[in-house]
Amino acid sequence: MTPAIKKVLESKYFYSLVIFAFLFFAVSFLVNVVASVGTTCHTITTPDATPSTFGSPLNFFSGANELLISVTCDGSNATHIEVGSGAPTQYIYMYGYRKVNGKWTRTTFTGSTVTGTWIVGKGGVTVEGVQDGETGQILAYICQNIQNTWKCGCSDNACPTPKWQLQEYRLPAGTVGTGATPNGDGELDVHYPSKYLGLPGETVTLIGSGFETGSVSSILWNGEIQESGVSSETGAALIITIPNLPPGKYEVKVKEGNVVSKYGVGIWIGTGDNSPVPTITSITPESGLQGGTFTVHGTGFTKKNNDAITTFGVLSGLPSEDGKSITFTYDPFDEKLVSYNENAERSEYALPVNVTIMNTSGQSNMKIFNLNI
Amino acid sequence: MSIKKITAFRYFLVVTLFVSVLLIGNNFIAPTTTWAIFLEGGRSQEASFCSCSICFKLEVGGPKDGTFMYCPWFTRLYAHYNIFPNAWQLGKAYTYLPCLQISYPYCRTDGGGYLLTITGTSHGGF
Repeated sequence: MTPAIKKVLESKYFYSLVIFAFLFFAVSFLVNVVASVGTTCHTITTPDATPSTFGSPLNFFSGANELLISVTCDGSNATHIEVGSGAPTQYIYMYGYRKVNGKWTRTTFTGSTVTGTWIVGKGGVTVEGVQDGETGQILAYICQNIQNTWKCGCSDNACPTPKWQLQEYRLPAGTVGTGATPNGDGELDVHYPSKYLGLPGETVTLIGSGFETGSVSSILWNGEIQESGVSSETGAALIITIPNLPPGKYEVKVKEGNVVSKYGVGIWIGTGDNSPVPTITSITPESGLQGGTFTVHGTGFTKKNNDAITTFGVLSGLPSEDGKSITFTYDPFDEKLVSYNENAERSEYALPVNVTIMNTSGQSNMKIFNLNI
Repeated sequence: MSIKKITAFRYFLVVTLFVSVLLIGNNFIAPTTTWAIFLEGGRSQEASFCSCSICFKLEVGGPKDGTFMYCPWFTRLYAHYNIFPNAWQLGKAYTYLPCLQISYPYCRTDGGGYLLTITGTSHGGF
């Protein structure tokens, strides 16, 4: 140990130093936790989303158009507003405004470096939260030194007229409520079944919404009523029985009165003959271009009506002459996908596509091929 | 207690404090982004490609609706692996991520959504 360190450790101020340091980091940590708990909830992220009477919360001079006013919501409890991106050339006017009960109210930002009424680099303030469905608004005024010229309250790169810069915020969807379990309220809709394959006589639970709790539901298999008087206990689930129909894939919908669910689900009726479950061993080529032809190799494919369930949609009714390969062209997009990096330079990317095969014998394992975009 | 023992004890305190700072204080020294994760779940209604951020911006209906970003370089996809309309999704989302689109000679933001960390889907389609 060096004499200098030894001297510090033995000094009478040692304990004060330790306690001060500990308190500093404890408070720092708590401040950080308070500041970081929550979900990003600002809603203005593009230049054209700002009303013309206000400046934009974006930085037009960095090339990245990053946000200079960002908001984090901790539910409806608190809202943390952060202004500036930390650059030493940014000066934030320490007073801003936020709309409370329809009136603009002055808000004071704080930051680690303050000169006069300006905060250098980055400032922030924590205020009360907004309620679900309510829109909060915050105004700030940010100046940037761009090549020895001050640009303040900008709406674009030219920045002709300084304006208060506006950001808005709302509680994001998904942060309000008690869970993702659908309930029986709302439009009659079938979401998904408890299983996709079964034999006649087996039961399947349909998860959905708007099911009547009385015995009024009818079940349509490819448009034909196969079961009537089905009731739901919760309004969100219906237990149905697989009818005695030929093996194959059926679209199952629910009908109540004259109303038929907008969406159906695909349920397969199996053969029950112990045919091998489809298995994918490989996909060739392992990578290719959009619109290219790909072949899935494996076993247990049926001569016709195989489905390929992929990341970007379902390819239905695919044949397999030899039972060992299924070939398809893959172009599920409305446009030709081309990828770039953040500097707008062409940048090739291998987009992974997950594939499983489903038929009357079951659903296969998953394999991936890549689309080079 | 001898001076040597006191010094050793103080040395121990300093090391403990330093390690504590590394473990918990680091979060403050280098604040990153929000880490709250929340549920998303509903029917996938629309999917559009973000060419510069290489993500798909998904409009997802209720009950946990919103605009979400499926980014193959980040999002872990679970069975039945279909993010496209009309498959159902249930997953977890994270911080807001802009959708960057090519607009020569720049990439411009085209809205955005909450970055999916994981999501599983139904078969979807018919």
